[in-house]
Amino acid sequence: CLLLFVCLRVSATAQQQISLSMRNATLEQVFSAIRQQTGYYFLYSNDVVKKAGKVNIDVKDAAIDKVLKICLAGRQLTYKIIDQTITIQEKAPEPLPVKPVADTVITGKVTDEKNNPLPGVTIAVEGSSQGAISNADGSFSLRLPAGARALVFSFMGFTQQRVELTGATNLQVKLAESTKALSEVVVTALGIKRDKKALGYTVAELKGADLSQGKEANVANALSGKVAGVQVSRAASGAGGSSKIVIRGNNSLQGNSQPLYVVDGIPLDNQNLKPASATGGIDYGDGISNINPEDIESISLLKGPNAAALYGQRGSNGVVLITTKTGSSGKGLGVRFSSDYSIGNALVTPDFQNEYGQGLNSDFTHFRATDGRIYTMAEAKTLGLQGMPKMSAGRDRIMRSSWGAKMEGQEYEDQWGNVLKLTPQPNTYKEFFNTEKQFINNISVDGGTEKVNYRFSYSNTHVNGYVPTNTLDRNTFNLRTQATITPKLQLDAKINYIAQKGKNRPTLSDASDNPAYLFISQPRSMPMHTLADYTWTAEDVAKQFGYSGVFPGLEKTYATNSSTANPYWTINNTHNEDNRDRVIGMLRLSYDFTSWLKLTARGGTDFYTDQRQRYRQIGTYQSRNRNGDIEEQVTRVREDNYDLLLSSNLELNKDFNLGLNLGASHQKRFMRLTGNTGQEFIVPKLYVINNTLTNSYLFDLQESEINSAYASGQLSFREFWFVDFSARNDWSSTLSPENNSFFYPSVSTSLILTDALKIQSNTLSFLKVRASWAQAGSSGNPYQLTGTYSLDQFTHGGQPMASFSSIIPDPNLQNELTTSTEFGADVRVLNNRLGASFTWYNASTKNQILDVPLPLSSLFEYRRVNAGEIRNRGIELSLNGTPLKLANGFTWESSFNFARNRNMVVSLADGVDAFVLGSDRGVIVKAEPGKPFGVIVSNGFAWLKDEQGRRLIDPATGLPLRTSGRVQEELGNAMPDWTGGFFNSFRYKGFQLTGLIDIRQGGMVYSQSNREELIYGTSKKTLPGRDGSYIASGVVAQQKADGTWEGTGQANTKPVFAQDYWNVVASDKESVVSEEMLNDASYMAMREISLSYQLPSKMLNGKFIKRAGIGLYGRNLFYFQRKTDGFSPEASSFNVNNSSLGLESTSLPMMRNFGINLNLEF
Amino acid sequence: CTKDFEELNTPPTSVTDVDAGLLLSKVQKDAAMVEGNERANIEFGSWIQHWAGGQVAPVSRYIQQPTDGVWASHYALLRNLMQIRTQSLKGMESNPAGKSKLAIAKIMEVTVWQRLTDLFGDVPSSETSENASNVNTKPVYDTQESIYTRLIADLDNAMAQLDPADASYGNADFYFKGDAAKWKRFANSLKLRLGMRIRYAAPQLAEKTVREAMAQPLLAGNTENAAIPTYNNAQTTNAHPVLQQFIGGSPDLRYLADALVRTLKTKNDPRLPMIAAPTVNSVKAGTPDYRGMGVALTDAELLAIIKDDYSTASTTTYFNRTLSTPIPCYVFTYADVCFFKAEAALLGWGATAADAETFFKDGVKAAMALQPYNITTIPPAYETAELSFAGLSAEQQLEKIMTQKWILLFGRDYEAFTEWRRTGYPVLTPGGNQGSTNGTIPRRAVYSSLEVLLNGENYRAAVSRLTQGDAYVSRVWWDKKP
Repeated sequence: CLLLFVCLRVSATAQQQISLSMRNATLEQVFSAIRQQTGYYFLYSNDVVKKAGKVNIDVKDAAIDKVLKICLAGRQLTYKIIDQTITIQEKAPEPLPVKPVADTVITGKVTDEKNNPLPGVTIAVEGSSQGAISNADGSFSLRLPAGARALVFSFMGFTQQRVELTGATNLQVKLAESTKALSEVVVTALGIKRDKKALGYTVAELKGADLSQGKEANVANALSGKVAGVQVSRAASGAGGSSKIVIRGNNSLQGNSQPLYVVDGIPLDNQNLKPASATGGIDYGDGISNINPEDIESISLLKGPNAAALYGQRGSNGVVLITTKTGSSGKGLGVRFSSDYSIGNALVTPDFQNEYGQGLNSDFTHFRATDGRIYTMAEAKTLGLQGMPKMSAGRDRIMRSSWGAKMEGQEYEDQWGNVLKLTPQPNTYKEFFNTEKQFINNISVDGGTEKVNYRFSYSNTHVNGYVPTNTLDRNTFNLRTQATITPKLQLDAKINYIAQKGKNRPTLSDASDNPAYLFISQPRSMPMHTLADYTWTAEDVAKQFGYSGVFPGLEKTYATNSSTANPYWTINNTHNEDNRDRVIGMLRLSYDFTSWLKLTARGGTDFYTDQRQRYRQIGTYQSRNRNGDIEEQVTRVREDNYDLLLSSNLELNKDFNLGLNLGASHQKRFMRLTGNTGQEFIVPKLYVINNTLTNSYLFDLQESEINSAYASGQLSFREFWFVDFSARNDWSSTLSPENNSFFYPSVSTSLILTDALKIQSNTLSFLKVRASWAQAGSSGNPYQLTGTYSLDQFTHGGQPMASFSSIIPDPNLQNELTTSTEFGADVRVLNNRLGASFTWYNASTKNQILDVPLPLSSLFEYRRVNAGEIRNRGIELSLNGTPLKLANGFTWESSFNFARNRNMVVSLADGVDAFVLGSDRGVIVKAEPGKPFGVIVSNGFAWLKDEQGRRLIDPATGLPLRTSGRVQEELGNAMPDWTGGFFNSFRYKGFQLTGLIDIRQGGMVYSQSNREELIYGTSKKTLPGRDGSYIASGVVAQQKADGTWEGTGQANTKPVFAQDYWNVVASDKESVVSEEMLNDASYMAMREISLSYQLPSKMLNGKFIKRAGIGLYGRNLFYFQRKTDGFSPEASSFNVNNSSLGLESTSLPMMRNFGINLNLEF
Repeated sequence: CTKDFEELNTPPTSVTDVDAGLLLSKVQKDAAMVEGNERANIEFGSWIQHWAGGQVAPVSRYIQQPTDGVWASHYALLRNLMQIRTQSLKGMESNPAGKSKLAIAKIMEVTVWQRLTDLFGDVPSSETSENASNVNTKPVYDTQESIYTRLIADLDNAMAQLDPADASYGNADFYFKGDAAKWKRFANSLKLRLGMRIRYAAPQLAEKTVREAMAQPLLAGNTENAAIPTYNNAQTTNAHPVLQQFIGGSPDLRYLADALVRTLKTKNDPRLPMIAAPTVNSVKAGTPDYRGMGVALTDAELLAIIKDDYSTASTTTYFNRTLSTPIPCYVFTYADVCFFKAEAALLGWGATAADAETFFKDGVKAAMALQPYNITTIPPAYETAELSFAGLSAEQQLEKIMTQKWILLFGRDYEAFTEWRRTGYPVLTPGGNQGSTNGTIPRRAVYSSLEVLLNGENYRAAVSRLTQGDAYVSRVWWDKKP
């Protein structure tokens, strides 16, 4: 039974006077008769009317009102006549009389339907900010404010219940379990708590418990796979690195499209100061990684401007709203302790070959004869010399690749003079890297009296990184207190102190001291112990071959070039250290003028000092003149936010309710960096800046302010139709006085059809449709308006020098504007057992403040303009349900989310053909009008192909032909086709087993690691055809008269050596056939599995320990599907900005973690 | 509440206007330094076989790559010179406070344009942006011919504008300390070079230009060399570019080419020990000897390389951080002028053929006297064997002149590459690697890859004028010697 509306039509000659005489008639029969006499339509739900039973009626020439009253007398039905339609509805229950209950203390107990006490239930006084939380035995106590009418009980996983206050001071409340809470309160913009059903836009909420199952040290990573349209990636960066969240696709060409993080109403600075680039650098972590996941009560994800318009400036990429835990009033001291230990190892390492050793042409390259001289292998053979093969060192594949002899235990002398046996070294990663160990302890104390509650937490994280000597230590202290100063004045204050210390974080990407860089090209026969002696000795120098200018004490590298440091030297003789001290503070005062008018004033600050030091000892091969270097810098960052919010809630009449908020805010940001770089130490082992031959300064300073005024409102009609609107004006210091004020509005609506139509059905439990339109502005960085000259850091013989900025400024820059529209529906069926949510959105960002690249021949590199339009259009679908729920308590819950985003660069600036997002050897990633963001373009060589796309093979050599020079041709796109997640949870008694599968399909990634592996013959891919039997796929070519080639259509059959073939594909760093380095970044990963057990509360009744639980988990366990060659597609980038989109550069492996955690409550 | 915004948004670490001298210093220094650094040495320097290039420097093995760096650095120099014109000294064309300064900036501009077009051929020039507020994002490529015509005219105008009575740059001018008379001789010497460069492509204009230049004062001695001083005891950026390569570069890229070392050795050139270092192994064996490495080696040749058997640049001069008199970074010297004069004399343009030998000898003497050689007396045997034109044909005389110029230009890769292409002397044998050129020495630099991406239409129009496309093997307009 369902929505069945019966509309009855009558004759045109309708009468107003009704005469009826019916006995034992159903209402339907009566309505039918009325309809015939009057021509009125009837609108009603079948089952409602059926429940009403039979009627007797006897009237003559009666008015319709009278007839209906007689019909419905004594029934829980009411009617309404609009035009010629009569709607029959169930009567709302009679309101109970309001009793004066101010200052009454209400106590009580909350249980589930089986009378098990429910701790942690939120009890709110309706229409007030007062409330309490039930304690371990489900009991609660709270003092009522004036005008209190009802209490609202809400708890995750249970149906919210409203209890009228009728004078009783002790309440026994039973909450009914729900598969998904029917009425979820979610935190929305400006921290306003809203009933989720009232929202006209998408807000996804995650509870702290859901986040911390996998124990991610960086809470942002824990969002991976959990929410539709939220794509999480991370830099391959060692302990304490950054993460990247992109909600609904990239909408910004510059920067990183990351959302704004707001913690308890205060924006968090999430910048990744001085990130790594394609040519090295260190990831020192971002802001969000500083937050202790255990302090988090819940996270709301506001997807795009529709939900986040009130955050203005930075809301256009969406907002991640974090609400931290608080204590609860009227509850004794609670102590919680949790401890977590996990270990991690590489999930994916390069797919190395273990058959052929160092050398070339399937042989050794050189030979040490008994006369002590070194000959080439060819000479030695011709002369028939006695001695043994000798390895060489060099910069290129000729001297140090793994194209040599089959490893069969042959004796040889390596490049330093060690006599060794040629054997495979399959475990180079394992021998060098460590098992990552992470230990997190967390203790919190909370409690409160009726007027004050507090919570204090301390957490300690210690990580011993995968890269030896890399450690991370983080201590966080968090104190939050809420107090009722007078019945009308509430205070909420928080102070969070974070002390973080990182040591020896690894260098990333294409840089010598990236430890992963070595392994990619290290000869497969070279044992790690020869590298573990990482300093040249006099003996090494005497016996060396292939080097020049080496001396005892120098870093011993296996290649002679600058780009392959010895990782043992790196971890022992180079050092970096960073210390971050951070304070996040918040103070909020709110005053209830009346039950419907409230003023909130809030001030927040987030400031930190980041102190970084890095040095490399004398002898470091890469340092200037092998003499070491040092860098020291201090960055101070501060962001202050103040806001004032006046909020009212007006019940206009029985049907309409209006909430109105008026606010203003002030934001101030500040960043100052000072530092020094010193080159060449004078005295060894003294690591200070003044102990260097030359040094230079580092300096940067940025300041900006934004003032804002805003208004928002919510209009609701009978709790089933809602309209929200907001309007905000910003004044930003970063734009000129003419342009620094800008306005952006939003409006959204939602209609709960099931309520509007009074559908009470077990099949269709809930149906809501929603629509929203919003704009968000942004004003860019400071100092973008004027062109400037910078002075050279050093004079030349006392003569200073200056140069003009390569960026043409625009003094008339305007704000960026993102306009977003979304439509969606939420439906729950089968008694809420199955829910689905669907959203379509279209967001376009116009007037981006962009440094568009110019051809250098224009004399400038960039022009700063308001440019372009980027559109993101997509759908999101999430399904959740309870496939199984047994009487014995066994529950299986399941959810699936899917998101497909279609990105389109609609236009760039006038006269600009392309925007380069990032580039690396052999590849450019760009944005181009008419195409999606992230077009991967080859910047290397290309195969010559026939019309059918078959490669042309040179008949003389049997090798494929490639272009003589570099060409630019489109290879693919870095953006995924769709992303998704599949989550399952099984609960039985105290046990819970969960699993999360994270999916991404489509999109490409260009691998620099693959290039190295192919140049040096280290991967399995290079094995086939080592004996000269490799047959390159393609067709035989013939040369035309003009020297160009054409295909003959005949398949190539000429065998070649694998080495020669791969030498055409990748002969050196710069000369590669780019398409061969492209990987499909699709994956389906088992992101998380966790098993937890919570001791039954009965067992602990009256014990010192009130709750106890233990959990086991695994993270990044395995792939169901992966197409990349030797690296993890989701953790391959070297930073979290757009500049690394689609690029992999000798990344450190992503960790597979296993952990155990324990939590206790006293 | 927005009243302090403007102050807040004023850039705190930079300025919006500077003295023209600071820009001129920057341009002079950067333009000079970029010609002899590691990047240039392993590319142009190895093509003309001064440097061996690297085993892993694909460009030195004739594997074609866009020459992005050179393109970028030259347009950056032009940007700063434009700022002198359009901001620092704007509207002062007839004001003594700016007139000569502007003329000097213009002469600098000519040197940059000439180098750029010499390397690439047709380049965007007349349509590049005129000022920062009127930017042309799609400048067309001018033909090299039209650029040369304009540069010659620009020099004439600048020379006419120079007046020793005007305000000048003083110490900010590394070349001549603002001396307008010297600038005039420098400009006229540049004119001689411009004229000679196009002798095979536009003989008439070449002759006219050369004759005009020969009739006016030219740089007249080593005291009038345009050069940037360098410093060994300061920052690396203050050191000679070749020394910078030694301090900060790769040890694999420090070797000299066989052609250079062999030529110096064969001729018993006294400069040999000051250009090259004896090989490590020969020193070890007690018989110090010099040996250059081949260029553009094949894989098999690379395999046979034992580095200690080859010479790097001299560790007593170029590779010496403690050299008491640092080597100036030469831009254009009296010796250059002498060699051009000798060539002009051979043609009878402004001098007679009989003058050629004198000019040539003056050139060699001036070249030998330069830092770090300081050779004031040429060994008589050398003079007899190398500096006499007796019995030589004009073409043989040219070969002699160009060979000496080639030695002079060690450390000035762009000019060396250009003069070798122009005359074909000294005769160089390409390395064995086929690369992208079928084993021939590149004849030009390949356009910046950003041009393809951002100025595609004009780029393609320019490329269509090249005989073999945007490739190493295509020749620029003036590269026409039969």
